[in-house]
Amino acid sequence: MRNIKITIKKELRGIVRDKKSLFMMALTPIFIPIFVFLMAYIYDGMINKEAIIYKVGTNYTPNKIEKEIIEQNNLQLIKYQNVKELEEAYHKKEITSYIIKENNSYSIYNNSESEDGSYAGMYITNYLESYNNYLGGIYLSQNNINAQLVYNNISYNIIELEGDSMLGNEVINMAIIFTIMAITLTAIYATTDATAGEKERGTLETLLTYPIKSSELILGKFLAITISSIITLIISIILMIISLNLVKDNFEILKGLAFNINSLTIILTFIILLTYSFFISGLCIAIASKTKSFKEAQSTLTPVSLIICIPMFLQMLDIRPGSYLNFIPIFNHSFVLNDIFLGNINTNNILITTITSIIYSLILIYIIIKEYKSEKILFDGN
Amino acid sequence: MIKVDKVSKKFNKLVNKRKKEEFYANKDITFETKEGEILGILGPNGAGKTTLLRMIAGIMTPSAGTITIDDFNYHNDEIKIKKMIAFLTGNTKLYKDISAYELLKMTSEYYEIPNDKSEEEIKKLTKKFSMESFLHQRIGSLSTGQTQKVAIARCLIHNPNYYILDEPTNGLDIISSKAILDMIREEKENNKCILYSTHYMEEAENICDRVVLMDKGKIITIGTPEEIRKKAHTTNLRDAFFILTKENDHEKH
Repeated sequence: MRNIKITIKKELRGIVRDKKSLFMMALTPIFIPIFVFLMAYIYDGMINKEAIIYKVGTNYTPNKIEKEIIEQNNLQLIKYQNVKELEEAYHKKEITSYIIKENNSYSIYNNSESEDGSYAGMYITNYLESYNNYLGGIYLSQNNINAQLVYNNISYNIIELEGDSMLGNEVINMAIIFTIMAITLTAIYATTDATAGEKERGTLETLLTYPIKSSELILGKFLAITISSIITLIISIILMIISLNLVKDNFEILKGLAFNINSLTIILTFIILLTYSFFISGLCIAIASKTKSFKEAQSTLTPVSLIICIPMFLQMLDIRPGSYLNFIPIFNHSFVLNDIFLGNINTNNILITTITSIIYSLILIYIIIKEYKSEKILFDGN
Repeated sequence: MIKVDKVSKKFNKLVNKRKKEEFYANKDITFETKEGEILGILGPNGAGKTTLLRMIAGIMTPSAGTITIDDFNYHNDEIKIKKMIAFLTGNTKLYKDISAYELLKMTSEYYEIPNDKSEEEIKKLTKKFSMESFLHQRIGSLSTGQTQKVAIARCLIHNPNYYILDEPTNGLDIISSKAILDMIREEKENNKCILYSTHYMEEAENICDRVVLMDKGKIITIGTPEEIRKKAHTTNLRDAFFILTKENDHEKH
């Protein structure tokens, strides 16, 4: 225990005195509020953006009633003399689409694959359907039929309820992923320095001549890396909660979202991320121990930080694979945390995630201790 | 007493991309040290000196044979042995981001030296090696000579009974080398046992009580410098080495 404490002290001193490691540990979490605000700002802008008026070319002049309907549908109709002029205007991008009218038949020329084209097509269809209904109403009244009874048999209105918001969920998802990312980056950097870095600098050989068991040495390194990850984790949780609360109050997309931050949420988040810190520290050491140099360790560990993005993309696409995912680290942490923040606390999933993380961490520690017991750790496996 | 008994160390050498070949860095090495002696391990580069000393220091495991120090072996008493030895190489690297004081303090903690005693030892070593002016500076900012002084102080702090020194003067200037050679002589006077490897034959001749001559992973001969010179009918160890390695090659053929 004494040697473990000395090793922890030694490693932490190294982390604190190395500017890059310190930056990773203390400053990476700052990106969490930056990205949360940025995402909230972008998504909020998507929802609340002012209506665009789409310019549509025609070969006819709309009547007074049509003009009223057109105005209601975010369209501006521009009359051209002939089909050739319409085609030219479309190719010059003066208009989004065009309508050619022959007698009572309207042909809509539109590229519905483009974003503007899809909106313009929708508004043109609305305009023509409304106008068709208006003409139908006139016909019915001319034949002494009450049009109200034909068209308005039922009435409806929409009341917005609180609940899942796709974009709001994505902001929460983003905050969680960046928290996991910050912890991972801290663990990767600290590990690279404490294992491959120490090997490359030649200090590991000296350290191995000290009266310390390889198990104590590796446990000390493992705990020091985990402690630095926990420091990142604490800063990250604080910044994540503050930023989510701020965007909830200031951006429309999160106002209706049923996410609740209370003491239980915070405790559960801490526990899940704590087990994640143990797991990722173990994983990084196990990988970095196999490498010969700082550079090799960095390039070998880079894919780990990319794997973390997979659950983020799955959640963005609203893909939730089966319950077997609860046994796969990183994925289970990400999904369980998302559930916790959205108030869907599932005790079984939390327990499985916590217990499996601890088991995986123990297996990884066992593997690393075995690795450090062998002289291969120093002498390249010859 | 350090007892090396029929120790061999086997490695796999990459012959080409697909083929590996076994080779022995050390083969059937047997010798014993005596109390308070400086035992020189001499041989050219590739003779197997470093591998042998790494096995004695416990950072490599022999493929065959046994190493015991005061009747303890690494298999059962690794920590006890490591507390009795100090390992220093000419290439020893120290932590650059800590000060000399912090390194000495950390080393004494690993060797379980009580706080007050370690402070006393650090004071003594600081005075001995004139480290007062740079004791609290980060090691990374020290000169080669100052760093070497810190490395020696690190070896002395736990007052070991055995020193395993692998080419400790290699690449050092005269002043830094002298500091190490002085330390070796002083520790001999304190009845400590020193295993000292070098390829500087003259240096070994001056300082060693006995010498183990090695070549190609094997021991050619063991004896005092005088015995070896007599055996080879020469006036210095350098010539003795060439004559004895030739004889050894002839015997093989």
